Amino acid sequence: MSAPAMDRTLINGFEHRDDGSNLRNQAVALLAGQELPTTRDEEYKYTPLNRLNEVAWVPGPAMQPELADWINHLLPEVEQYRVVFVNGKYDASLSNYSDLDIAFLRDGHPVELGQLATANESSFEVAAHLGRLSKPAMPLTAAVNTSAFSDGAIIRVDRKLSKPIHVAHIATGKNATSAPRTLIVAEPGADATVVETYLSDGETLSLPVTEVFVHTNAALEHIRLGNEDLLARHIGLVEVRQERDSTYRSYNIVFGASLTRNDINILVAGENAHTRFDGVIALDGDQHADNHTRLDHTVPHCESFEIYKHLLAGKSRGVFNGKIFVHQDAQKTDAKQTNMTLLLSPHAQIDTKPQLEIFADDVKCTHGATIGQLRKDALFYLRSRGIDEATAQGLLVYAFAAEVFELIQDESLRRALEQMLLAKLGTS
Amino acid sequence: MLEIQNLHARVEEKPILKGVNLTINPGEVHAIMGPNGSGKSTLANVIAGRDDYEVTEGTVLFEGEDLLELAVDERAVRGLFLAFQYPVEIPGVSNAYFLRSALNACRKASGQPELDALKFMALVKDKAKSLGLDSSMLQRSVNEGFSGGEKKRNEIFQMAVLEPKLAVLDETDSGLDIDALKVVADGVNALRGRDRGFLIVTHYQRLLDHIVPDFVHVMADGRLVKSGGKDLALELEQKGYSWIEEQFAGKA
Repeated sequence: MSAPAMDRTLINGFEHRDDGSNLRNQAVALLAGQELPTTRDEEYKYTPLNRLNEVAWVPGPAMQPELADWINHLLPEVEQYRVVFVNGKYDASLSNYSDLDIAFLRDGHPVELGQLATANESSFEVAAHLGRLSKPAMPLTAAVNTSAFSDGAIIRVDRKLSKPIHVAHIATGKNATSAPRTLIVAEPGADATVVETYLSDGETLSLPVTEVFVHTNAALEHIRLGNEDLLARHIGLVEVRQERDSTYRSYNIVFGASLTRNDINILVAGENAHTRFDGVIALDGDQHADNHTRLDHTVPHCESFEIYKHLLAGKSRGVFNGKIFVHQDAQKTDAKQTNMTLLLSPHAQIDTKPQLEIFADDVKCTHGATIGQLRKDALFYLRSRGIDEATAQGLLVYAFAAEVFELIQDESLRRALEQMLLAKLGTS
Repeated sequence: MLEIQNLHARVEEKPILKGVNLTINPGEVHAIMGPNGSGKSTLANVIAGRDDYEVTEGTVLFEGEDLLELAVDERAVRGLFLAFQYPVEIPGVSNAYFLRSALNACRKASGQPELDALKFMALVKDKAKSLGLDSSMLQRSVNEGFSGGEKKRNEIFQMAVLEPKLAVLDETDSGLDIDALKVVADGVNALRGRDRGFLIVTHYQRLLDHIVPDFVHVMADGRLVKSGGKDLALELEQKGYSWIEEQFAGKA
């Protein structure tokens, strides 16, 4: 009996660029014999990606949208260095990063290396970073991205920046696919905030991959905002590597898209590193978001703190899988993971799976998950001061999630995210 | 302004209030004292509208209106205030946002214009200071990480801002050291006036050294069993509650 014909609709919906580089070759070879994961795959149990084959995807065409149509989604109230890509192609007219040196990938190749690259050394080895963390052999989606990406930002910082760098990816066009690629390198002495925003105006599919290097004594705040159209699909991968004495803070925010699957993998490779990785996932209607995080503590004396908060209304469904591996050498690790969910409707659903695997014997690790409704005593307290029931509920729902934003350093950015959260909750 | 007649209330199946009668007129400060478990806090919470309690009999009128028919927030915007025995921590909601929302709800109900953030801050900063609260607390989450004394002062601060017609203080003195007690008492005394009533629920007489009541009532086994002037509080302090309990417990 012959196997059923392989369904490669999604894979064929991307423009693959077999340019002969090692990176592409590996990815293309890997894709040759692969299909999208089904529910039989434990890692995709609640979010079978093979259903993405039901849409006739096409490579996102070259487009030049008007700034006026998108500016409201580009954090206009935040002073920022802005770099915008449309369907995976750099758009100079929407970008504005004046006094910052940013390098780019163009058609898959690094170009336009700025002064940062030449200040202390002859060249910055993009090849030494690009594709190093996101091995194409890991999730299939990484292979699709690696085979198909064209343009991307190479953010390299070695000092304290006074305003956030905002990398925005706009997906536009019916059934358009895009493969955004971003490389972030925080060099020693860096102290920066990078915001990635994902936007769409319809039924689009984005498969972004972001690789993040946080070198010795660097601090990076990394905000990833999924704010696409409610018809969009988003399958994202973030790979992070932290060195000694580094600080990495990740905020994974999901408001948009009908289907989201994010994998955020953090490798802590140097001692005395601090990691904070949080999520705010607010869904309504039929939205489905599946967030997988994995953190590997491989060395001693590191601490990590993770909190994921879901606010689920309508018939929405959240999936959370948080793995923390404490390897044998990672003594004195202090790791805490929490997943809290508010179910705002009887039809909303959460599947949560915290997972701690500890191979060292002198560590402090906790994890926990709570699922519930609003606190009755808090509701009574607010109402006893004259705040009506609906307003009090809204305030508590908002507060439940907004707490996560409190650590965000840039005040205008924090406010903008809070406003977006309020707007999202207002429609649910 | 408050007329309570034959009020009975229970928690689940257990009767707590067994026929309370009490009238508070504008300008009066009433204190209710009594042993633990006598029903003092229950009375305060039933007046405020906490739904853990079921009223089985009796009436409560507030300015002639049936209070028991009103929702918690409806009672508050009509000028009723409860200072909590255990103020609630609400992470993620700043004191400023919370209190401005509350004040504007009350102002809206009485036909006054709402205050914007600037006017609100101007109004509250001095009041916070007079209660020994640093105005930076306004940007902090409601009661989060506050000490016991700060929480109680925050209750009185909220009262000072909302300017209720009737304030019910539920064991506001518990857990306060003498300095904090004085601050709280000063806050209450500053609000005393012809049009405002107070109901102060307390286990100990010491708060009443600083907030001198017009009337003192003793509660035992769900009823007010004895009423008098401020001297009654001193008598209770000297003699304890056992004679009251012996005299009235189980006499139903």
